Amino acid sequence: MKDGELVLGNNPVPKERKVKEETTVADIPEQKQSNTLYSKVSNKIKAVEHVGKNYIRTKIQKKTSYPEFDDVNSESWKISVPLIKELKELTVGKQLLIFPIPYNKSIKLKETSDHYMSIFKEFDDQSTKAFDISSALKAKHDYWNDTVFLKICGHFSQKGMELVSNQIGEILKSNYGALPFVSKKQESNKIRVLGISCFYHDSAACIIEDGKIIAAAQEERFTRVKHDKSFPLNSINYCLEESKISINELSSVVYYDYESWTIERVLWNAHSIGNLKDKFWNTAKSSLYKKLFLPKIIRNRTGYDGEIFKCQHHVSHAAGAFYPSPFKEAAILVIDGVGEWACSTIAKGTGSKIEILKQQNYPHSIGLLYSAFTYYTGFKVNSGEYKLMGLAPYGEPKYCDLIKDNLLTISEDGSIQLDMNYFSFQEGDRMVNAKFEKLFDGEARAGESEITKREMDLAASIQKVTEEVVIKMATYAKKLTNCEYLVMSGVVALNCVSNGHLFDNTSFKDIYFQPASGDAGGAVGCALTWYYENFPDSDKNLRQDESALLGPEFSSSEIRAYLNSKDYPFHHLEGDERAKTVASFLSKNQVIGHFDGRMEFGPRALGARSIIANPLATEMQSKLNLKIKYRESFRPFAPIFLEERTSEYFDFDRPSPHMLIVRKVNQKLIKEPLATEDGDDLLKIINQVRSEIPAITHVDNSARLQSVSKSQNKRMHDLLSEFEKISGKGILINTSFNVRGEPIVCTPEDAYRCFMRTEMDILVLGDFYLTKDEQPEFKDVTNWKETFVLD
Amino acid sequence: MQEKEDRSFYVKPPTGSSNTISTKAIEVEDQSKLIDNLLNEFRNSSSDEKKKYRSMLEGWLTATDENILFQEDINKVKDLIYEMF
Repeated sequence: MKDGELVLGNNPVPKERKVKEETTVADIPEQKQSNTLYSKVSNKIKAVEHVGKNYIRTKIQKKTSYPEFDDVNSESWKISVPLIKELKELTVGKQLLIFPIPYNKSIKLKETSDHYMSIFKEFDDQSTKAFDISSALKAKHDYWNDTVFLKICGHFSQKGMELVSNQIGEILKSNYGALPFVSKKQESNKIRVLGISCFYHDSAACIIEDGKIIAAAQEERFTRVKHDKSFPLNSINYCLEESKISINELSSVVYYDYESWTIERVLWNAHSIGNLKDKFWNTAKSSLYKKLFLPKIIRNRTGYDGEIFKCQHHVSHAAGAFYPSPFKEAAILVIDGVGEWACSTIAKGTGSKIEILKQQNYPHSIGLLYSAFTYYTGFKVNSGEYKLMGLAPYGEPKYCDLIKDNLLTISEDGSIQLDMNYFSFQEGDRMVNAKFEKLFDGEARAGESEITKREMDLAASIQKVTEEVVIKMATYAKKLTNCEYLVMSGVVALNCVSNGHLFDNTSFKDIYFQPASGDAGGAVGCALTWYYENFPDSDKNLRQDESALLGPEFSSSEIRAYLNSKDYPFHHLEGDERAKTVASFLSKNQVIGHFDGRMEFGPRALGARSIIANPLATEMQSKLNLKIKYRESFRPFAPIFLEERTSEYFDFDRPSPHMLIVRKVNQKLIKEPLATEDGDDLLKIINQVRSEIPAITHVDNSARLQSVSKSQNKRMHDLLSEFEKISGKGILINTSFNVRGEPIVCTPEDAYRCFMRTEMDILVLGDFYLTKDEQPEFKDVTNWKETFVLD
Repeated sequence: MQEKEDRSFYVKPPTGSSNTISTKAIEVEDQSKLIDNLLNEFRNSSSDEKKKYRSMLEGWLTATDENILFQEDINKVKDLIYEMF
């Protein structure tokens, strides 16, 4: 209601439901001791079953069911009354049946009375009847679980709507003897497997069907918490929704890690650090708790009642790289911080089989060594590694010898041994110790403080050492397997600079990098591992993830409905005009938020959730960094370009669809910088014009490549082609659609919010575009710069 | 440390017929059975080490009480309850 008038909005169901009284779990009464900790806590909650566990959840979350329908004076009821009255007038002479559709949490709250029914019942007369479907659904609470609603917005999923529809059908049949529609149970012999990764970092879920990836998404995109490691319920819901199945139609659920091996490694670690054992164990064990009880968590949160499996961490990574790759046989290299024990793995994939050949165990990890330097140079471990990589080209690798003389031994086969006297990650608090700081003559840089030449040189040095190790490992993998192709995964496979060097320094014919090489990709790999182990005669699908576009998409009608509901001015982009219009904006140096099709899986935005801009404009890099991304000015931007122009623009001659390879810009396009590049002033260094495509040319004349073919993404290919017609170059800047610390946008609402918070000029949402100057004043409900923790 | 190093630091990978196994072994209510099953899956520990680990596991799984629900950081409590139960 606005000024006493009824105003229709998009969605009459608010997301948050505050209760008046603040209640805490301290209200939970004591309960007798039982066996496992899980049971103890679970029984404690069961002890108050008269109010129910969901009551506790509700209290903790400070939500309640439909307070806005509390009485006839409530706002929502005032909105509903004129609507129902008008409907009655429109249906005079006909039977009007009212089925208030309950909010999912209302159903889950068994103990909550549906007080709103009494209000709806007031409309009952000869021609109108209100039916209570909520009570009937509550009676089926046992099979009612979290997978039937979309937690992202609280609305029913397709499965949930089906259940509600069936209930309405039953009521109609019992009252009127008619069943206007019949639920079609999906009968299928397809093997569907859900893969889950969580509780380390970058939680994700994936569903495969007969070995083909149907859907995959990272939890952070839904919760809006960067690198979210929590149980990926939203991602699971999305994957089930995309697969059009409910949880118990799955053949199997697979977790991407052996919790028992991780617990063993943590116990070993505790014993290996002497008198710090108890302190370490007391801290570490709390993080193991969820892992140990993961099967119960899966069952509790999803209602799944089938068998659950687990897959070795590095096997999950290996499978996530090999099975989706275009190769029938390949050497497999997995390198990350640490899985259970393994820090690097060499394996061989042949058809449906993966054989583990060599492993390097904790604590001797090249990934953790890189993270130690990430920490030491003032960036965040497990998120700032790619910044260190971006900083490296500004420096000189002057510390290489110091690193190799003191910190590690590198074998000719690529295996390493760290000198643990310099590191403290085994104790858990810091990555490096005083001896390390003494070696490099200073303490770690404080986060967000000025980046000096020293950090640049440290970055260049550890990058070079890492490349040496990775090349040696890959060379040894070639020797061991005699395969023509290599596939890579594990978070070190996101080091695009190192990846690029592999093409020149190994004899593999081609190399595939899993687009989600971090832990998120483990969700894909563990599901595929289970499938091919149980169905070994299945053909390995080649090129099944030619694109990494495996996430949610929004139809034109959904986007239009969203924009209409918000009264945001927008324009329709029709047919061929779409590419021409957007290319025209780009050529005028306008910065565009580009939201189109299915969301990317993995850390790279590949055009579906991207900010795109003209790379020919000389100051576009610093403009994007400081006015739109609000991030460190030194960080480079990647190009997205027509695949057929690859060798024309870069020293590379094959597709790079996932932005995981760094190569030099073609020498023919290189220009000599006019000013000197000495000193620490990053902005001066960045703003040098180094090539004909300056905004994507890094200080060492390199770029992180993403090629686009027509078959892979026709709409982006069309856009690049139109831009080429105007500018002469089929290439654009492509950076992720977010601001610093924010997960990449998922929904049109996320996109609009990010668009309005930044200095982007145009927002393209599928077949529509919005201009900034036409939008109403944007009033942010929160200070977003405080909402997102800086990464 | 920088001299050419021919020694390999790789270790023998775990052996087993399958890369995926059921979680049934840890889906048990009996705590001592749970610890037995956990230790049985350990692959890098000697019998002496397992003895030491057993006492730590027992301490972890028996001594931890419901105070986890009453810790000061309400966000951690919320996270635990909402995530696990």
